[in-house]
Amino acid sequence: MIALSRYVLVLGVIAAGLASAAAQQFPVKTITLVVPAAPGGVTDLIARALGQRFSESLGQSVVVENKPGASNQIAAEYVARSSADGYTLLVSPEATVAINPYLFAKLHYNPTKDFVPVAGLVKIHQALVTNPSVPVHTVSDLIGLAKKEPGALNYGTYGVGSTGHLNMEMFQAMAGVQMVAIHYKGATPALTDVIAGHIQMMFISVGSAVQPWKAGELNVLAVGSKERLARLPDIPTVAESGLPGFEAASWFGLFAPAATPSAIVSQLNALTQRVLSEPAFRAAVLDPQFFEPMPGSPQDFAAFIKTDAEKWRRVLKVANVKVE
Amino acid sequence: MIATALTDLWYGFGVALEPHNLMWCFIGVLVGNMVGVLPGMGPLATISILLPLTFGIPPVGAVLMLAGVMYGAQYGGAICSILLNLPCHPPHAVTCLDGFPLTQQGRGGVALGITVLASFVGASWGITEMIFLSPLLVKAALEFGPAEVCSLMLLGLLAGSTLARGSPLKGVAMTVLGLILGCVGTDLELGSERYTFGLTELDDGIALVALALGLFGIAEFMNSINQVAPISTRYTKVSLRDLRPSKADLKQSIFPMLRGTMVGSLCSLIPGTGPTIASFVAYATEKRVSKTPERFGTGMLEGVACPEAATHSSVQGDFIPTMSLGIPGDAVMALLLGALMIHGIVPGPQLISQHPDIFWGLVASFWIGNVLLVLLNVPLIGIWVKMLAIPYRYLYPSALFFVCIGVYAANNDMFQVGEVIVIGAFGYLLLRLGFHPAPILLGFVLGPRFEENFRRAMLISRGDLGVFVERPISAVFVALCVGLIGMQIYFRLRGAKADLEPAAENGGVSDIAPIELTRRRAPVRPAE
Repeated sequence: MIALSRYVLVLGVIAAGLASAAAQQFPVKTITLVVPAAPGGVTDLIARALGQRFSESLGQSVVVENKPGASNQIAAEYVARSSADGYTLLVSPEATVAINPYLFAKLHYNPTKDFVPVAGLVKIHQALVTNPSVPVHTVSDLIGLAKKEPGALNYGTYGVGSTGHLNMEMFQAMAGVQMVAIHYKGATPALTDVIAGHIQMMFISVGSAVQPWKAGELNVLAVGSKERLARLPDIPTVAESGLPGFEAASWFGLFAPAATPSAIVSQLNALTQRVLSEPAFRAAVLDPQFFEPMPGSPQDFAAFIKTDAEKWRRVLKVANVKVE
Repeated sequence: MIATALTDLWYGFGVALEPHNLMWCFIGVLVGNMVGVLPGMGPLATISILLPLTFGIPPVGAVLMLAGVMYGAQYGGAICSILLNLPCHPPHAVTCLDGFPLTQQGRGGVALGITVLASFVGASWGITEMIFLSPLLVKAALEFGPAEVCSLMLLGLLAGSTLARGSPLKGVAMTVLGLILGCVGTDLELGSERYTFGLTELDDGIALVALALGLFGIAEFMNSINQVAPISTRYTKVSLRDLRPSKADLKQSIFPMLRGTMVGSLCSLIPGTGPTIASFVAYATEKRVSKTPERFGTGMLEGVACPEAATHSSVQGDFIPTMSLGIPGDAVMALLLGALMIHGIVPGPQLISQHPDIFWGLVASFWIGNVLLVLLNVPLIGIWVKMLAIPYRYLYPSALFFVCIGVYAANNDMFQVGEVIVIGAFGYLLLRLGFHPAPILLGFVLGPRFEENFRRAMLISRGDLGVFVERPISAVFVALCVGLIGMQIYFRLRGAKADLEPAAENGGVSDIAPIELTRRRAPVRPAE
């Protein structure tokens, strides 16, 4: 018995030694960034831009593997079951860890126990846009109109339980108004219908709204950030327009399977911080899309996720959005 | 307006003909053409693989190359449809209906020749549209809201349900089966799962690629197992005889090409209506206007020329909303815009004024690329046809292998490989029972869009069915639907006999019939 436990101990020491050796050498082979979306979307874009810089700084190839489907569940489950060696990582929007747990009755992965947060990547502020034919120019105009004609206005979303849906549910709850959700398979068809006037409004990323806004095809009533955006100083925030505390933003993060050695997690976090702060990366990838980098340690990111998940839990409860 | 467009185009040619841009365009169309021939391995997978390579080259070259893959793949896509009855990409599924019988008659080469020509005609119109009509078309496209799209899909379903040869009742039954298969997945308005049997992989529905390759490819392979040898020699012996379309062939197919082109360009404008719907609608329309609709499915050149022209004009037309609004029509277009975004270029209504080199360079490269594709494909036809000389015991297993890879690559998911096998086995059963699988695909493609837009229209109108007739564009489509049904009933009542007999007696069928019989009947009753 003693011999056996000593044997186990020795094995443990060797394993620990190997692990630290592995951490020092990391990476020795190709890293895979799993993306829970089809090629071409925002998540894919972020993963590819990041993967490109990772590959250049690590001297190892980094591939992006798209595993779309089932509200991120397929990719999440895949990464959760991959070996926790830092070579399989998940680049994911908030839904995987902060919305899905409260939206779905059951999930195929455990959002808190299956992953270790590596680093926050970018925050995408949302804009409240309306078709120019809607006779409102400010958020309070809109709330006034919606109160005068309850249930008469339609807004577009990119799916039940998507941030486009939940941000508007939060808006309705805080403003005490009622509007009708029209769901689309993706943000672009919804945006097309807002531009065409088939529906009146939606929350969409500032980056997607700016061009049609400049062309006069949309009105941007407000941005969902906490403070006004430096590059759009004339556009008020929703929070300052009568709904204090309102924030509509999506975020994307880098995750690893739960048992990934902390040395590798720190190494990947440091690398991410470096890439996100590079002026060239900012100018080429972040700024044109109004992406805001999310600096911080893995612990900061974990704490951020906790607060965010709590926010969505409340929104889903108040709005009574649940998928069986 | 025309003068400025021509000046801009001239400038675009200047950009596209710069040696390095020309090179990227050529690489793009070449790669596209090759992956087009591989089953399932569509432009989406290819572009996402090539995307990292474009980080290092200037944005104009990158976009020219990626766009080249996109339309180049369409040229290759029809080859396996015609020669092997294997639709490598969903838009070309309908080409199988007449393309494969043509091959069986030894006229596969002619069909391929007509396809190249039809492709060029369709693409040329799509490009012309993009140059001169973009602003107008974008405005028109915005008129299509949920109610309009819903009525249009209904029209498509009605017109297309008798698309395949054989009993109309069986055709309708298969369309309905397609509608049912289209219901699988997540309910858009409620988020609940429908017919997924607890399989997460089915949450987003059955994959279109798996369905198309399963129903046409796998089912057809299984169907030919018992009768391999005689067919394989028969095709090749005759097919090398004539590769070039005769004057009569050209005359026969020129109007279908033009009609297909129009259908395709209309479809490209309507949001969510890609080349697959365009080719199906074009085929159905062609069958409607034809004087000999009963001969469709027996190897009519019209049945190849029309949908192919539609596919290509739709693919080129898809670039219009993508480039002028920044709103991608489908996943491939989204990926192209993603490529621009990685280069720091924000797509949107101002792209044309801010980056004229990209917009006009791209338009000019379309012309160059399409000419290159014709030059590439014409000499290749002979080689493709020789592919049939490969014994089936090598050809089919290797095709199956590529099918599996292609289906896997679509989503990086083994589940879909399983899907294609199950669908294939089921499709074989249907073939043996005399059901043609083409309408399944039609129902599957149109059904979900019909449902989605119907529910959206109902939500927006607060449950008032009147929207479908109050909105003028929608009303036109509804009227056409009523007319179509009315016509069917009228003809049925007026002369059920007169309608059926010519089909059986038509002398023109006789030269095709023997092959048709050996092919279609033999597998159904192998004992005979």
